[in-house]
Amino acid sequence: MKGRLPNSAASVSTEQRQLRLLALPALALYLLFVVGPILAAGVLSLFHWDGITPPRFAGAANYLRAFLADPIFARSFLNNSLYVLITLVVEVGFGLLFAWALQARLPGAGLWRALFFSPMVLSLVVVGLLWSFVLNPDAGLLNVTLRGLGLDALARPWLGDDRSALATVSLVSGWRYAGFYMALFAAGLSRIPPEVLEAGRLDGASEATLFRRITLPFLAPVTAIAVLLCITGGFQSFDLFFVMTDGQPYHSTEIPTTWMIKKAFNRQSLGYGSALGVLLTLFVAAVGIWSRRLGSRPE
Amino acid sequence: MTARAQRTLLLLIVAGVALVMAAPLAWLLLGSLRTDTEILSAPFALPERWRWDQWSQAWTEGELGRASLNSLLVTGMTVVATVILGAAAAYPLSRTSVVRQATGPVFALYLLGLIVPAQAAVVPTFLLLRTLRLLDTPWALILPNTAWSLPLAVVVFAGFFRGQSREPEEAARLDGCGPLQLFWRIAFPLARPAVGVVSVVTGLAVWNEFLFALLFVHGPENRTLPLALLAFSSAHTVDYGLTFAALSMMSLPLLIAYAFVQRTLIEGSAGVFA
Repeated sequence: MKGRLPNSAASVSTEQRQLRLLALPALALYLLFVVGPILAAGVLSLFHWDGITPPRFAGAANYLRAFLADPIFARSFLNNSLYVLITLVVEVGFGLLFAWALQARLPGAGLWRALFFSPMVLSLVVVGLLWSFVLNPDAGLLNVTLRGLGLDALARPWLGDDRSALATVSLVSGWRYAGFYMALFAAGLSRIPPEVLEAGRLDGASEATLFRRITLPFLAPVTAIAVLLCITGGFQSFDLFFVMTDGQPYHSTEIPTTWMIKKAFNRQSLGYGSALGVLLTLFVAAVGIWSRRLGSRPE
Repeated sequence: MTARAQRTLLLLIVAGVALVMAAPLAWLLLGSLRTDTEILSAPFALPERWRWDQWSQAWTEGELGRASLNSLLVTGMTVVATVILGAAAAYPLSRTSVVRQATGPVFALYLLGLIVPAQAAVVPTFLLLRTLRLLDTPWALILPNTAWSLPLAVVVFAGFFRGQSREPEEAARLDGCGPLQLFWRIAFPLARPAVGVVSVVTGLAVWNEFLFALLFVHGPENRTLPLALLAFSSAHTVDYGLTFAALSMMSLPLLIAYAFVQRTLIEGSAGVFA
């Protein structure tokens, strides 16, 4: 007989072994290229190392330097927090508005949805380069259009001025990601039973009231996820900043990731760069855990 | 205001926003076929003469053909590896009656990769690749990209396998199939929707991946498209038409492909999280 005996301990352990074997290749690759490097970054952060000469033990020196002797690192966290605050409005906020507007079954809803989402398929390098051209002070589409409309006073060097550079990059980020949050909210909206809204309409409630009283409460779990993704994702940004400004002007668009890469790879401070990476990881993990608590707290 | 007027107003606003959002892309595509003087004098006019020569010049000078092949190779290998390894890793985790003890910790370990910023791991990864003598080869991108794509793949596949009907597997089990055959012959072939979502989401992310490419591949032989585009545009900062041609050439195929898979992509990328 070829079948196995259901309760035989021997065959269960064969099954176990085979299933473990199945999971092994993925786990090995993951341990080698994700978990290992993360742990190694923790170890490296305790050394001074240029990658060539022998490493010297540094203890907590790299961390002390990050907190006490590197004002630009602190500045980069502040910049990144401002970026996240702006993107919460222009990515999550606009994403919600788009999803809500398209919920009204407008003519061409599928086309508008596809259009709003389309920047999501472009590489951030293309997005950054394209917008650097759009924002060019002399020949860029934005300033040319503003001048064409007689609004010369509004035309400015968007990325060259340290007062506007960070906000400008954040808005470009909004252009790229609003469609993603629209998709997220659209999935949430489709789960609201239409009868509930219909009943509200029959009772004479305005669309604004329905939105506030029914739609928003229904969307609370999705909103919690969207905010979490926007915050933790926002602190992992790199591409757009690197391509558009790389921290310029005067570090006004410096964020922890760009600063860390500069330290580790341009200055060959592998230990210090790793310490900055560890601090960023701890920060993102803390934010993640904190906002999950907030999201699951009963109201 | 009547309901009809409200809807018309809403439609106008939506169309207006869509138009403003599409403007930079239209400017890019039109500009790729016009001279610099034309772009500067009237942003949105049609070309006086269609400058396809800008496309061919950008293609040759930017070595975009080689970069495209590199991107195809890296993306293709990563997607195939992520789908197969991710599904194989998720299957035991979703048949918990068998591997009960290990499920929780292993799943948590994969979730770690979703929270930790990849930037924090690039220095050790660089050193690892250097030790393995893989820097400046396609493997320097395929291996880390696959590893970092696994968490999402495992989450998606585990969710799918858990919801899968067990009947086909029970039947095959009675016919004497072991767990490896159950996975490869029954569960995996039935998981096509999950394969679709993981392929599209991973494929797009890897095609556009920049950080690993920037740090692990330096020579022009192995660099992928994002890097080649950046190099080309920094060499031609004042050459609008030419750079626009390079950017268009690389975005247009993606936008066309997007038209076909937009439903999977939009609903898939939302479904992963919500």
